[in-house]
Amino acid sequence: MTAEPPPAHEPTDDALIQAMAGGHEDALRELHRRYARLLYALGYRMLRQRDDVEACVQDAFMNAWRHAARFDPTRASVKTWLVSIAHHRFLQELRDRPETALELEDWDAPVPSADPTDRILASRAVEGLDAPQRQLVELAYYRGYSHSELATLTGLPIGTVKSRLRAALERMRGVLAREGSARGPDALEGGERA
Amino acid sequence: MTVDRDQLIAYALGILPPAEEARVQAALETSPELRATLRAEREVLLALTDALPEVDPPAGAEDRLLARLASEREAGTPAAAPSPRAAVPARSTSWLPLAALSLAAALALAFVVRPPADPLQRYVQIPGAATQAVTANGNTLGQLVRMPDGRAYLHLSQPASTGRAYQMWQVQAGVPVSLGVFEGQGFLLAGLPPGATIAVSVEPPGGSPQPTTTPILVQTL
Repeated sequence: MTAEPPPAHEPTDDALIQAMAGGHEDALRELHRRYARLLYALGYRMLRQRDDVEACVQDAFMNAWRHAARFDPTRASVKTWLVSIAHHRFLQELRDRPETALELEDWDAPVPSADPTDRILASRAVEGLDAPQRQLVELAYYRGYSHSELATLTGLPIGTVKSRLRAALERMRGVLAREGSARGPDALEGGERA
Repeated sequence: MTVDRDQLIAYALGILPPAEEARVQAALETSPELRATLRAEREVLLALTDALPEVDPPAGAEDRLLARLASEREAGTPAAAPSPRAAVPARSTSWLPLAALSLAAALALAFVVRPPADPLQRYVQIPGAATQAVTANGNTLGQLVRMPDGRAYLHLSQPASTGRAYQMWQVQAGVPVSLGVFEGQGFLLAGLPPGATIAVSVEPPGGSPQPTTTPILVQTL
């Protein structure tokens, strides 16, 4: 997570969105500079092949541009909003692909982030999950499997799938809150530059 | 409608069936508490992205994005042009009448770009998939899609009545064994042997240990 606010002479994320709403293309360029690396990381993780990622990332930024005028910072930070847009676009791409067999045995957990400064909080939250919780959350988030598909994949009852997802988010929330408060209030803002 | 925590988490994960997603979306538009909870869930889920090693964009990606923007603006693509509201100073009190709309914009831009994910169509379009009507007592109840990898997807034409849910069973030696409750009108079957017998009954939400009603259909795969 990027907890550092931008230098005083740089606009906040919210200011960039307002500038985009006013038609300032440079604001989109700056937003891309701040978050493209994050969205490409998510895209490569979800789609697993590089060919389609750029088009999807472009779509995400274009959608942010189109809807900038109605962005409401009380509902989400810019970062969370942008990642949500991109996440759904990647899910769409996954679902539009020719179907592949449900996977479980070849599911590989992502490589932990190597950056010990900016992203350690998120990594600790994810690594704090036990293996079954992590597998379930990652199959849902990165692959978009529904409750029933997850139940089929894992052999668990749907009720157990739901309770494990719930427990996983609670555990992550606990780590983020505990370690985030130790790092200061900015650490829990999802990197929002406000 | 009541939205429970599991539904909200599934919504944040993007894994709800379209009809259920629309119901959650509608509930969000009228409940500030629900929106606050969703925001909290999304901030937790953000850790899954933040934990990934960042990846440099391909060379020239930024220029290509700006070129696309310029191209769309030049072409006058409506979606590419900021709305007139863009000129309104944001966060002024004059925004209040737009408050109801802003939820749909802020949260739901994700919804806008969400796939028109019709699971039936997705499975039907799989190369080699075969679709057949499922009937009972002369009435067509839905469609069964058999996929070349052995899976099958059953889609019922009508949703379960209010306060009820469809439950899938495999009938083994005459004994029904629960395979789970439908999400909406569809159920994905995997890992069943050819010739397996399935049945669907209408049960209370969450399902029953054993069928409590006469199956509405029995089908051999």
